[in-house]
Amino acid sequence: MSKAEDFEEPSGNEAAESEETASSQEFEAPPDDSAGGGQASFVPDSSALSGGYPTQLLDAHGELAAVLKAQARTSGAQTVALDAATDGLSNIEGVAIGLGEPGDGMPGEPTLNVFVAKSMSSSTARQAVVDGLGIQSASDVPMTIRKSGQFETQQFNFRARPAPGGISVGHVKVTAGTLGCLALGRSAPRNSRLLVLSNNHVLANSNSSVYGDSIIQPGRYDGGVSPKDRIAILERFVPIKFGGATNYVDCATGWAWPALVRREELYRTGAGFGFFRIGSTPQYPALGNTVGKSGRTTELTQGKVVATNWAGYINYGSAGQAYFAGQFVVQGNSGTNFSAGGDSGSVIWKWQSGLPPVGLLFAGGGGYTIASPMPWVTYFLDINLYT
Amino acid sequence: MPLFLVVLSTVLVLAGGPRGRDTTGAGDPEGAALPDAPLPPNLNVNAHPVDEIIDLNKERLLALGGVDGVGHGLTPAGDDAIIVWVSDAAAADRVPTEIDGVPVIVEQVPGGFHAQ
Repeated sequence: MSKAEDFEEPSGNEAAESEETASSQEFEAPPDDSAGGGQASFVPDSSALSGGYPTQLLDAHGELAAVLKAQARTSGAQTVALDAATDGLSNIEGVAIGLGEPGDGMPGEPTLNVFVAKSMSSSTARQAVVDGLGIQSASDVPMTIRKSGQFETQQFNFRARPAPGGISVGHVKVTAGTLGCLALGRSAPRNSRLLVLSNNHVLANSNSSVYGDSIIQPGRYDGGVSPKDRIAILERFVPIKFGGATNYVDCATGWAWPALVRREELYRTGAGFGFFRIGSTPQYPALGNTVGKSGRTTELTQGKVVATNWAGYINYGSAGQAYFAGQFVVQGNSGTNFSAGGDSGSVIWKWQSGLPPVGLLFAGGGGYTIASPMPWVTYFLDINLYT
Repeated sequence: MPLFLVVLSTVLVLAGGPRGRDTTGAGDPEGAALPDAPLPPNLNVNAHPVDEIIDLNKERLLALGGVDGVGHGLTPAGDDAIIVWVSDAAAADRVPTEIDGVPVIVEQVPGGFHAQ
C-alpha cells in the first residue's frame, strides 16, 4: 500500500489481535489500551471477488427479472402450454445474483440464483429459462436452483476479525447497524488514522455520544459487548439537527484498531463467505443507476436509483424527526427490499466496473431506501475512502 | 463564571475526561461533534430544471398533511417526474397532479421513513 508510511496505530493495541495483517503496521491506534481481543471467529474465503459481476450474469439476471416482473403484472394469467419447459417456467418465483452452491460454478464466483416453488433439476430450470422464457444469455452462466421455502433469511450479524464492510457494528448503546467501509482523514492528525464509516445514528447514537465511546462489532443487539468486541472508538460525527433545520448527511467515523478491520466488503457464497472490493472515488448517483450494497440485515442486494434530490422527514424514534434534503432513493430489484433495519451505514455502489461508491444508506420505508450522496459524506467528515 | 460552576468543572476534570466514556485511554480532548456547516454550492449537483421546481415547491408539498418526502424521479415511460411520498393515503388527494408542466406521481410509504 502506497501510504504505508503515513499512518499511525492506536497506542497499546497489544490486546488487539494476534493475527498479523499488512495494515497493522501502517496506522496509529486509538488512544486506548483495551482494544477488543479474542481469536478470529471468521475464516476469510480466499476467493475474494475483485470487481463487479460478469456482464453475462448481469444480462441473464436482468432479462429474467424483467420477464418475472411482467408475469407478475399480468396477475397470474398464465396462457403458456404445459410442455416440459413451460411447466418449469410457472415454477420460477424469483431471481438473484451472488449465492452459489458448490458445483454451480467456480468456487466463490457469483451465480444466477433461480428461486422455484417446488424442487426441480438444474437442467430443467435452465431449459425453462432459456427455451421457455427465451433468455439466451442464461444458456451457459453458472446457475443455482433454490426452493423458495428453504431460503432462510440470514444476516451478517456475527463477529468477524478482521471485520469487513457490510457487517454488524454499533455504538455500545445502539442496537446494531452496518460497518460501511474504511476511510482516512484528509489532514493531520486524522490522515494517520484508519477509520470505519457508518451513520451518526449507528456509531454516535444519534448525537448522544462523545469522542472515545466504544464501537463494537457485532453491535449490541447481535451480542457484542465492550470492551471484548470493541473495534474502534467514536472519532467524528456530523450532528443530526432535529426540529426542521436541513440535514445533508447522517454519518460518523470510528477510529479503528487496524488489525481488527479490513478493506473488503462481505457477501455470501454457496461455500460460505467471500469478499469484494469497492471503489474509493465517490460519485454522485443518477436516476436509473443499478446499485448494490452489503449490509447487516439483508446482506448483498441490488436495486435501482428511483429518485434524486429527495427532501423529507426521517423518523429517529425517541430522538424525533429530522428533515433531510438532496438525498437519493433506491428501490430493490425484483420486488425485494433493498434494505431493512440494521442495514444503516451500508455503502451503496454503482453495479458496474469498479463498483464506485455513490451513497451511505441510513433510512427507509415502504420498500424504499434513503441514502446520502457519498461525495457529501466524505466532504462533511473530511475523509477519503480507504477501500 | 459563578464560583459553583468553577468548582463543578474542576471536579469534572479531576474525575477524568469527557462524560460518558467507558474507555480508559489518555483522554484525548478532541470533540467528536463536527461544527454545523452549509452545503458548498459546488457540491449541489441537483440542478436539473425539475430539481429547481422541486426546490421551489417542496416546502409547500411537505406542509400538506401526510406528505413525507418529495424527489426527482421518472414516469414509467421514462419522463422526468416529481415523486411525492405519502404516509397517509388520503393525502394523495391534496397533491397536485402536475407542477409547472411536470407530472407528479404519488407513492405510498405507510408509516413514513425511519432510520434503519
